[in-house]
Amino acid sequence: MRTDAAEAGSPALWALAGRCADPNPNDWPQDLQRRLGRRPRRLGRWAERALHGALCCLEATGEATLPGDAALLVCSLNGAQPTLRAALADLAQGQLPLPYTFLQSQAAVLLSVLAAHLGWCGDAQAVARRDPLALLHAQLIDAPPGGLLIGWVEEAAPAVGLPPGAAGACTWHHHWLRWRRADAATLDRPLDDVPHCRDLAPADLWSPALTHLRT
Amino acid sequence: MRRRPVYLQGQGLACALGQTLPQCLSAWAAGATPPLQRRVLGAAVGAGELAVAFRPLPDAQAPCDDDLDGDLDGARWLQRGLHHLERVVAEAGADRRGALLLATSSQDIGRIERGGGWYADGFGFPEAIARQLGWQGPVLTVTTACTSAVNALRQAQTLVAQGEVPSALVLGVELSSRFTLSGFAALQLLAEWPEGAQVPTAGLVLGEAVAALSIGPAESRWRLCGAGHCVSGSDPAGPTGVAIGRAVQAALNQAGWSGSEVGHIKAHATGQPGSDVLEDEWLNRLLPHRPERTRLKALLGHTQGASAAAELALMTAGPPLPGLDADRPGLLALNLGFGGCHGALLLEDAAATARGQADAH
Repeated sequence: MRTDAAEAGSPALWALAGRCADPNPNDWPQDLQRRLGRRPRRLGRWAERALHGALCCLEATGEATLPGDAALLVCSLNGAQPTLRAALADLAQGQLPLPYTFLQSQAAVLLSVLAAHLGWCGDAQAVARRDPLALLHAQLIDAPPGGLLIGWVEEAAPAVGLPPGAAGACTWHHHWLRWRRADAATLDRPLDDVPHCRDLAPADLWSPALTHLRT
Repeated sequence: MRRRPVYLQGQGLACALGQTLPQCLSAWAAGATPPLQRRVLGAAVGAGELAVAFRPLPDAQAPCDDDLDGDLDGARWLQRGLHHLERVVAEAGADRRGALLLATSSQDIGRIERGGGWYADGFGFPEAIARQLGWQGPVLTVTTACTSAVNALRQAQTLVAQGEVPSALVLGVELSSRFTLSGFAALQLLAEWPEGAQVPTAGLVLGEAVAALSIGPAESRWRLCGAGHCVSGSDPAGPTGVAIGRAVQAALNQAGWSGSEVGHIKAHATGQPGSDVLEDEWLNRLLPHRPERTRLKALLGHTQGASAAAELALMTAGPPLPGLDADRPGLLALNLGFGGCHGALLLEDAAATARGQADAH
């Protein structure tokens, strides 16, 4: 799973091939339906939102689908919590969950939704971590040759009152980035001018000015 | 920085077999089968009482079928979980400056359904654990259903191998949740236990486990040498053979091994006939020399996101595994989960290699 550059001990260079950022268009459910060619069924709101972001990001990249040797990572602090809250409220009233309700409450099921609709089969994970830069860095240093599609997806904007220091708390509830390995020879600037992942502030990650990264 | 070798440095376990790793090992060696608990979930839609089999952690606070109205409120649910967590972490040993990786499917749903409040966001449970443990390093949660611990170990392997952290601790945590039991039951995956029956029907039995695996660069018996994960979109609730093959091959590729170097398999083997047969067929196809297999879910129950950590804690802390020798030092751990998740880990048993060298002399 290691990149050749990293194996050789040199820093790896990554190009941001595409992004999809907040704010979503207000009509994103209709846009998702248009992209799929049909109404999404039984996916749940969180998965629909993630799928819409991933499709938009791949479109921005110019990729019809994700390469089989790319990795897919979804980061979410809340996951499918709204679905879970509703289901637990029903359970408290003695109503057992229906099969699709239970599946929609499982974060991992989002991965199969994405794989199915992207026509892709490969390495995907759902994780939660406060620091988006540390997460990105950890994924890039072990990314496969096809690079990384990474999304931060929350069903709703974060609630006010997150713990102090929560990185980018109000800015990353819907953001997808597609990273591909890059050759330093194609850069229009010295390699040393490319920021290292560790040197960025969280807000830099969402800035359109960010085009390349070193790890 | 070059990738450095990564080893399993310590294990801790509380599960249906016992509250400590030595208890679990003794029970396993003695061939003990932990008692099953009958859990009444309520009235199924259009049917009568729905009850299923369950394998709880054998402590005094183990929830029973009417615990929603009993003593185990949300606070005590959390207290019970943290108590087991502290003990397994002490067993495994851990450097609090390292990475903490939590592998769980049901998180703290059991606490919430017993009246515990919601945290400010969905990361409150891992942070409560980190606070309790006095953790100083980074905290990450992996939620890939029953492959969660596989992926937590992969993440730990990367972080330690790259020198990002001095060490890492993978914590597998699955504790009682009526919602989770009910969800599995809704999918008709569980062994049901009709009223008046002596034993449940055949099928999957969920269980509780808290497991810790300490990961670091210091050389030890077990080296974590390969890992792979593959998600298929063809079935959100069941495995596919092709994805099993891809996950195993990815693990072999990372280790630089051929399949012939695998001497023992920790099978996923949940007790569901369809998926167990598929798993066996594909393992036979991938590893035609048919290595010995261990199937632990019949004893521990299926401990979901914690299962890879719990089962590996038991197997790597115990006596030599049959089939492992100098020619075949590899232990393959396979885990499959909701979301089309298929995970494989490869560990090398240095003791098996050493035994082979000693025999040669």
